[in-house]
Amino acid sequence: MEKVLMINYQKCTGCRLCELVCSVMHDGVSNPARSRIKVMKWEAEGLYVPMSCQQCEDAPCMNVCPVKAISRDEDLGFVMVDYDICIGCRSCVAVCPFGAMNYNSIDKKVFKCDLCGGDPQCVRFCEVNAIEYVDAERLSIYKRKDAAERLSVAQKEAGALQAAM
Amino acid sequence: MKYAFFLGCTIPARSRNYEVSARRVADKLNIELVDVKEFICCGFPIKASDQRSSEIMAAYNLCLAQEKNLDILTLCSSCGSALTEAAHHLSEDDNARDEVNEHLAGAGLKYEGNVKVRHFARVLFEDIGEDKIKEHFQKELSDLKVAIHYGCHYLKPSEIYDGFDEVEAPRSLDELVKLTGAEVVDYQGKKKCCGGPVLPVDENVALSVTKEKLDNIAVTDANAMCLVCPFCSVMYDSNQKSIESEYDTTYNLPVLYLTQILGIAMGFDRKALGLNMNVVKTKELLSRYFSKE
Amino acid sequence: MGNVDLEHADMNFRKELARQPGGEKISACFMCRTCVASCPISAVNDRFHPLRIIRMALYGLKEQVLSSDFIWLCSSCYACQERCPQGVSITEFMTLLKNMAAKEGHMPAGIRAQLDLVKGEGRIYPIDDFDNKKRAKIDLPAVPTTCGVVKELFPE
Repeated sequence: MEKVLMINYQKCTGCRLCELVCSVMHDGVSNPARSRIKVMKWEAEGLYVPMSCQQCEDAPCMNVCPVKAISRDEDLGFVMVDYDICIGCRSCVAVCPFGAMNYNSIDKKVFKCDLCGGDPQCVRFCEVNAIEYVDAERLSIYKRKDAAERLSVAQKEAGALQAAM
Repeated sequence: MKYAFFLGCTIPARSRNYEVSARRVADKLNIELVDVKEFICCGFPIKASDQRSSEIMAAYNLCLAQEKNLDILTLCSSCGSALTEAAHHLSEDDNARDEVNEHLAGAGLKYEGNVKVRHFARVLFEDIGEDKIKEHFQKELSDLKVAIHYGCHYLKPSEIYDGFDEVEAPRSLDELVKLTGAEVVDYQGKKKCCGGPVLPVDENVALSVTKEKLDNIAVTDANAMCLVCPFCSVMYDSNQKSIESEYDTTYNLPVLYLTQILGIAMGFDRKALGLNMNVVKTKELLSRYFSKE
Repeated sequence: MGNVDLEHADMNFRKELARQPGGEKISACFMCRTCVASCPISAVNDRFHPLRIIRMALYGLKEQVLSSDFIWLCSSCYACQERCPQGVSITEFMTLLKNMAAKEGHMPAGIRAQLDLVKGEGRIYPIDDFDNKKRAKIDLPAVPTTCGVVKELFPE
């Protein structure tokens, strides 16, 4: 079954350990610049949003690639780059609506999330579970549950308010 | 002014020059130092391996001072930090105090949490004050150019020392030394550690930390070093010769305790200040301040 | 140091550390390296690197950290802790690691000798009659040559 990263940015504390373990996992060094996942921060507002590849169905990067170096992995369903074919034109970087395709000017290569082959380290190390690895099909169920919970809490509060009046 | 005098382990065994000079200076300034024979190790040397036992030992010492209704005065910065840290922690954290008291019960004691700990230099700087110290001076120590080493635990961790001096720009020892007419010489890395705590782990690493500071002082015109901790003295004074031979270099830099410098200005003679016990010879440097003996 | 191997990471290590004094705030580290720049040991020896140790702890490399010899190179001078812009109690954290390592039996011989001496004799430099003789010569009071109270403070 296809699984995807589910990011709940409201839980993110901005510690950036996901970035570190991502770079360690893929490049063997602690270097956030080499991370596939990036936490965007608005420090003044206390807002931290981890951004990573959405593994799009109709992936712009895949469509734009002039040499067809980008394809979808059959088993895990993630979008991947074949470096034997890639010419490093960075068209995919330009076209990605999430900024999830990165370019490393030292290695001269584009790079993106590959779900760590099925055991995403960002998920494993995130203490507050801001990133989870869930069945793609069930993604909406979690959202629905969350929303329903908020609704029921709101209703209870409204009831209590009414009773108090 | 009266304190329980905490000597610790190093001073009575290896730094009697510090002790004897401190007693002379304290006497002159009417600071009464009460010897407490039952004091044991402050706990500092075992903090790294067994922090709990370390705090119990510190608390035991605090208890002995409490029994005499006195605050503690230390000469050693490491003792000062271990005791101050315990005093700080145990005055704030009731649970920690209860836990420690379970152990102290074995010795028939109970710590209430009110003893204060002061380093001698801090007492001089904060409580005695420049004017009062200066009143007792008989000699002007001109030509003495002093590189001051604050060391670490005299000032850090800052949260336990009530901000009596500034960690990143310390001045208490500078002010005290300047009172004598001596010149204070700045040098690179003034705030750095002596390397002492690493000595039992890796002698080479420890001595190269010590050497770095000696090198930095060597390029200035300082003709003496000033310390307030016997542990630092082990590194700069006792080990100076071995660093010189290990690295094939010469410093020949006399290392004086603050109390010795103040004591010279107060007119005490060489022996009264234990200057004959300093490892690097001080005779040539200091001869101008003493009449022919 | 070798490559970082996340496979055997102990995911509980961080939580274990966070529960103890000194370990509470290490995840606030944003790798500015002020600690390394301030460290007198790092300046003379590249085996000791406070930031690397914090990172290894965050990665859950418990065994590697606690059995290492490099944690013991920290001189506990507090230079890093005083300057950490994120308020990480780095020196206390190093003390915590050393304590945990000691509990698991990893301790340099010199440190173990000090521990035994202090807890056994009550002093790191026990005083003998000869010391007291030298003290008496310059009018310093005698210091006890034995210490019984440590047995009461640390029974058995």
